[in-house]
Amino acid sequence: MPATDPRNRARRRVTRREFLERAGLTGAGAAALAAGIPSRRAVAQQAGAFPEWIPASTKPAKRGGALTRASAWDPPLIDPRLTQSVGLYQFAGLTSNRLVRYAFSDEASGPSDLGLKGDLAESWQSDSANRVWTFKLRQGVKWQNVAPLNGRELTAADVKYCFEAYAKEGVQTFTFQEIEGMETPDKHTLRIHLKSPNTLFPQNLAEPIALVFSREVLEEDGDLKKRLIGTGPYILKEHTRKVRIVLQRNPDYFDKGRPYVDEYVILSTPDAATRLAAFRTGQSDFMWLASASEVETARRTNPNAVVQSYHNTLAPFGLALAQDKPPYNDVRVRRAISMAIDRQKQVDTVFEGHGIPGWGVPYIYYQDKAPTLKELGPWVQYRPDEAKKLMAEAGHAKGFETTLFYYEYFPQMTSQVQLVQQELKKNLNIDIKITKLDYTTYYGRYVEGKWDGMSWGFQSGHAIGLDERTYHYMYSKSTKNFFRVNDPVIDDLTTKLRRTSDRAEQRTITKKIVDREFDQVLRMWMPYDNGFLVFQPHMRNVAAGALRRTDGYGSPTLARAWIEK
Amino acid sequence: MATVPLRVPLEDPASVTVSRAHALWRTMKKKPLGAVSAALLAVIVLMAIFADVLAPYDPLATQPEIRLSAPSRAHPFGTDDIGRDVLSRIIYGARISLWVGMLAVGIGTAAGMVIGLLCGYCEGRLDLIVQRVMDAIQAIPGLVLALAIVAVLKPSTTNAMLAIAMVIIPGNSRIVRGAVLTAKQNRYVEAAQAMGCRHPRIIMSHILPNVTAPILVIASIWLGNAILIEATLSFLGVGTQPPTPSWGLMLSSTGRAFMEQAPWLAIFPGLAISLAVLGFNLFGDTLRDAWDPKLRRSG
Repeated sequence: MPATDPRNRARRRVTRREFLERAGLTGAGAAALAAGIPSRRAVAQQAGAFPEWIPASTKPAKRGGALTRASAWDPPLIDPRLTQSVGLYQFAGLTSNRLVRYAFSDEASGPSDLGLKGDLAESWQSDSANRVWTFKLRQGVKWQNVAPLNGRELTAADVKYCFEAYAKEGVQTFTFQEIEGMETPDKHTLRIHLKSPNTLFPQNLAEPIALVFSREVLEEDGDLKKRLIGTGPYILKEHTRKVRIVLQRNPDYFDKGRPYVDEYVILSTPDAATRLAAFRTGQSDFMWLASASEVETARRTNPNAVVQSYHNTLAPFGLALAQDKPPYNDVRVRRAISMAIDRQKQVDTVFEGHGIPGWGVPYIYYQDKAPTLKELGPWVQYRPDEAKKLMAEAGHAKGFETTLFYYEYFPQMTSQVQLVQQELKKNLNIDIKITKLDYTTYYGRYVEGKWDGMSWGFQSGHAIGLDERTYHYMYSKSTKNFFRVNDPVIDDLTTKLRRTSDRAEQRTITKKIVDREFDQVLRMWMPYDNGFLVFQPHMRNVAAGALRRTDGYGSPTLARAWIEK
Repeated sequence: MATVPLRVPLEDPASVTVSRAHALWRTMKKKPLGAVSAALLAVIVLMAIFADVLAPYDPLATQPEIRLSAPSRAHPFGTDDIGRDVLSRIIYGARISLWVGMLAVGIGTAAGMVIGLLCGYCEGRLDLIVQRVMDAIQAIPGLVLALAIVAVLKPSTTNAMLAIAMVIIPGNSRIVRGAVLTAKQNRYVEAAQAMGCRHPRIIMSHILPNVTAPILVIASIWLGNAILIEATLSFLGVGTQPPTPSWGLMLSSTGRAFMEQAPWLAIFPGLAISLAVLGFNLFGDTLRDAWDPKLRRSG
């Protein structure tokens, strides 16, 4: 066949050199393409205002259909005793119940509705000293019809066993070791005796991590790493690590008629671009986006997508310092570092104005409106000159070298870490060597608490309860005190708070805790995005409350969602 | 390099000594792609050396107010997520890429050469044992090996460099060993042995100069691969750490995250990596054309 025959040319192997030449031409083309990209700023400016609250649908609910969500998270394991990971609780709240819960989005009066509702419990009350709490369980609640439970009735003894197991080992021990003893006077009554008074105890049991698991599975398997059987609206049908989670409707769920959707599939999708592509092509029904410009990008192809503008009540991330060691055990150093960071600039730029400057205790517990940066006190204001003076007073006029490790929970976090590094270098001559770690290494090192220098730290995102956010996270001897707070005033105030039942007094004490925290810079909170939840237009009753997002720890609310197609 | 004479067997049984630089010059004249690649590499090297002068901005200076700005006259490659000038970071990134590439390839080549020289010259049990170790290392895919090494050590540029060097060593040692075995057959080596020359002298003076050509060719190709591996390790978060401007890191940390909103953050670092790898590969080909006697004979 002649060499000029096109068929021959098509079949001819491309030599390495030819390949390289063609690659070069492709690269040049890509560069030319980049020159013609429209301005992102212009796109961001088009992002209009989105509603903060989507009220419950007034139409009758529809049964059937399947929901799918491309998820950033994957459960490291499915044993609720051993992890607080959002990867697990993005669905565990659908397979299992708690004794009490916060209001779902369709029954809440607004995003900040903090009213507690019964979940497995119908009612609950304490003695006058707030040391003995009695929970009356709902009757006729059945475990899922899966071996070895086979749909038997839930009893108070099941809950007692579960709470004892939590106290024995795992990450929930601090919460449940508070229990001195439990009694079950009858099949549907659980009486809990606490070691010390706690008016906020039911709130702790409403946390998504306090779900009730089955005794039989733990006894048969020795752990809950393979099977998670509960009383919840969905049955866990499949969990393939880093692939997908499949949940199927539980026909015996105690809340008759619910859930409405037959199947909920969570696809493990760590890459943000893939999640967006899945939403665009209808393979994912809802997603989380951090910035208005990202929302606008998504709406270019999906103009009918429903967007809820979220408003956080707290920031889970902050600059954690090894404050039990020099130089961070000096409050002047902590204050100087805090004043050398321009938080407002982060909110305005990294979060495109849709963010909060950062605080750890939800503001709804001590004031009605989200605090402004100014209200958070003098040490969070950007005052580099005063910061320099304080550093000099503390004997660090020339700065120092330190390290910072972090895990990139979302891309904007890397932007924040680098901005802080540059500001501390510029303003205080603190030389920070950054190490970006994988999730497992980061989580282990941070939670273990044996690190020096700095970390881009967190307090678990699941918690919204006042006791969890104050006593559990700030009391000096708490195992959840990741920021290493060791302040006698805080110890005293947080203990006093949990012994106070009067709401007004609770607010006053909480404010004192927050003021003390900011005055001593015990936890250096960093700005956090408010973000947006984006839904396909056919979804109903999926709005997020102020307490939790629907896609993460707030997943139980999905039992009340339906598809209108 | 140019001072070492290369004996090139021609069709004519009489051998002709041609300097390597001259051979390279002749090849480049015949194949202009080689000249283009050399020019491309020269640009990258000059960019790395004179980054302080060429970069319009400090690559670490943040200006969040203009974050994610599209390419413009003030910022021809746009700005990144915290308002740093992408062009300046690309220019400084050449330093990291070249530094990592050259050092990793330098270490890998030197170590591979020593191992190859010893194995090829001594043969016997030492050769057998060492080459089996090399086989075992070579059995592991390069990137997986590099990832494992960096995972055991700590994520950093230096450790990434060591990991890349480890990937290079086995292949290089095999090539050098083969060249040494061939060189050993030459009569001048036998003559040196007969004259009572000591082994180090034979290796250094009579064998080493005859195996440098393949080493240099392979090293030039490895440079491109090393840059690519460094970029990959940084892309995976185990190489260079922020805020150091590394092409791979730029591609992964901001390029991927803001691909839809600011595609220039992915395009320009990607292009830089492609051009550098392309340049080294083409230049490696040119070196091979110029210095490989077999290729010269055939064409």
